[in-house]
Amino acid sequence: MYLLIPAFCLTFFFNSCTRENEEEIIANNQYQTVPYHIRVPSGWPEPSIPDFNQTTVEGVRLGRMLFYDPILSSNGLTCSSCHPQDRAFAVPFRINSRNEVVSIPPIMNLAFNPDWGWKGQDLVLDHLPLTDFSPEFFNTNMDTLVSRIKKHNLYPLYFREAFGIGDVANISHSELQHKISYALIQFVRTVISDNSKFDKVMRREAAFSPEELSGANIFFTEKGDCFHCHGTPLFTNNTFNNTGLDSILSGQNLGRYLFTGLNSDKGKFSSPSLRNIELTAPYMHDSRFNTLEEVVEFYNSGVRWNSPNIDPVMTKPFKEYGLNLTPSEKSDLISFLKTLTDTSFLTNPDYANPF
Amino acid sequence: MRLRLLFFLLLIAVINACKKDDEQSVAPGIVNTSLNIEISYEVDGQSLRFDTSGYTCDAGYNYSVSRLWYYLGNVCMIRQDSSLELLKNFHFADAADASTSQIAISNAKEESYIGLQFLIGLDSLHNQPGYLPATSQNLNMEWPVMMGGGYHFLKFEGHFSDSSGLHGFAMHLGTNNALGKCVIYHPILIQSGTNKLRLAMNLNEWFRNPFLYDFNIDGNYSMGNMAAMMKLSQNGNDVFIVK
Ligand code: HEC
Ligand code: HEC
Repeated sequence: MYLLIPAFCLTFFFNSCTRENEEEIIANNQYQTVPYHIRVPSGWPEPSIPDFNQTTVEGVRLGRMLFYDPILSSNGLTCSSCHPQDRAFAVPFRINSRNEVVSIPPIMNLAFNPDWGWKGQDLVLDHLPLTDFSPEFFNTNMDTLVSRIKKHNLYPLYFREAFGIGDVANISHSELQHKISYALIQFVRTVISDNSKFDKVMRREAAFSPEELSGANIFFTEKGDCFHCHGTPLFTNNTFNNTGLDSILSGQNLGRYLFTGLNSDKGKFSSPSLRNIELTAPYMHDSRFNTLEEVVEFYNSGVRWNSPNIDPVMTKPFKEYGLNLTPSEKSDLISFLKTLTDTSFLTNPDYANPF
Repeated sequence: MRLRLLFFLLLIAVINACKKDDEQSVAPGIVNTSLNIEISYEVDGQSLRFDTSGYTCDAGYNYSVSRLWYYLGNVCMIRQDSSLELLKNFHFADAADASTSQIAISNAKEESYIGLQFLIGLDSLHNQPGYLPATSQNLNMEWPVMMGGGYHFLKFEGHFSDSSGLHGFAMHLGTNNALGKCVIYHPILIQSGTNKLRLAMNLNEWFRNPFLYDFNIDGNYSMGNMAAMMKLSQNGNDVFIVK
């Protein structure tokens, strides 16, 4: 016990020494970041943020600027071209290199999810934007990008403050892409939508109309059974499900199978969040439905029972002949879905174009 | 003065360090007694593989499993005098996620027990809207407030085939009425050091005893079907054995 005390003193001093050294290094590089605390709405899960890309005030500032800046591309595209704020960060769709229509998912509340992309193919959110440098998206010329950043009046300072990079020309192209990707995702993690009418009702600041309440009753009970995959508070359970859109699967409709190679994943897609769903038409991974009416009619009468790996929840006995919702029940369900629209999110200045 | 303060601070540091050791890890020289309960899954002796058909339930259907999520509540050891020692209030398990197949009890007591018992589900205190920490696992087990609130106790889903083809099944349990309890009498001697206890869930027991559960008669879907849930919750009382 008495021996322990000098030992403790020693470690204490060693620690204080190393801390001073670190401070010196930081001072030389003018590199000291301020932690950015991601707001966690009450009742939400803790965000999962990897050690290698902790969120900082400087990183978020840089990421937000890059998100809106065509400097990253050789074709004028920005992240916001496909993910604009006023549409909950999602334009309808893009056509991929195989000529398939891919629905563009909104960017919101992604810090609280464990996997990303329609097939759950993006396991590390921080690396997701790396693919955007490819010819299919930004077609970035890295040499041009380096010289553009160097010439810019703010980026050299911002890169130094966020990552301690004195000169972007002194790091490899791959490292630069990684740092850009990290900054973008730091910004993306701050984008939170939790102020819809639904949230206000939960906080007892508002009340559902009779139609919305009837819709909520369908959504959250066995009648509509939507909650099993689109549960609160994120309106996704982060599971992969085949809802029975097609009886025969091919091309991108094979879903998660294309990523895992498991037969049991054929036809499964990530169950998307339904927050702001009113704003993000068309719907489903391939944008096959143009309206919420069409989506609800699919769940009501269009489920293909013989689809491989169809989710057991979709094949309840009474669902055999569809949900059997009356026209007014269907419109009530849609009224409820529209309470998930968060207009303050669409104009939140923290997420807006900084230019 | 400064030295004294330093000494005082150090003392606090040392005391705190000791306290922490008692609670969590092994302090040098002191042997910590811990218990690791390991859960495995099988179907009448075959180990569970997801989305693979080839299991047969007593009603005669071939079935496969796509999801098995559940809570164990009030995990207790039974002492010689039948009194209970609480080890853990609740534990979430996803049979497909190995990290949930271990219940680690770091401060176990050296004792000779006659068995263990636990709920399949949550007691009425824990089974309230928003009561558990808001982890994704707990959120995914929520039972909507519109239907009474609280949590699912069990989500056991898959597919089965009968003469008319392939169908889904979803055995969900929830509501305080459908809370099941497993009492397993099996001598368990906890000695100093690391102890292991192996529990196995036999999925066929959900469909076996005391009620033969037949998807086509009792329902391949237990939600909103109190009779089905009551049968399942009673069948659940012997789904676990100590191995
Ligand atoms: C040409 C359109 C386009 C551009 C430009 C674009 N994206 Fe995307 N984004 C998509 C599509 C399509 C998906 C869905 C891909 C999939 O899952 O198959 C997507 C998915 C995402 C996701 C995952 C969302 C989720 O819910 O899983 C994030 C995050 C994201 N993009 C961020 C960015 C960032 C950051 C940029 C800028 C570097 C960017 N995107 C540029 C079209 C685009
Ligand atoms: C078994 C799980 C499951 C159930 C139950 C379920 N959904 Fe879905 N939902 C999904 C999945 C998975 C997708 C994505 C499917 C795809 O793109 O192929 C989806 C997509 C949607 C979309 C389109 C989202 C978008 O961004 O394009 C809407 C709207 C929707 N569901 C509403 C509902 C409603 C309303 C109900 C109840 C009537 C319901 N869902 C029940 C899993 C489910």
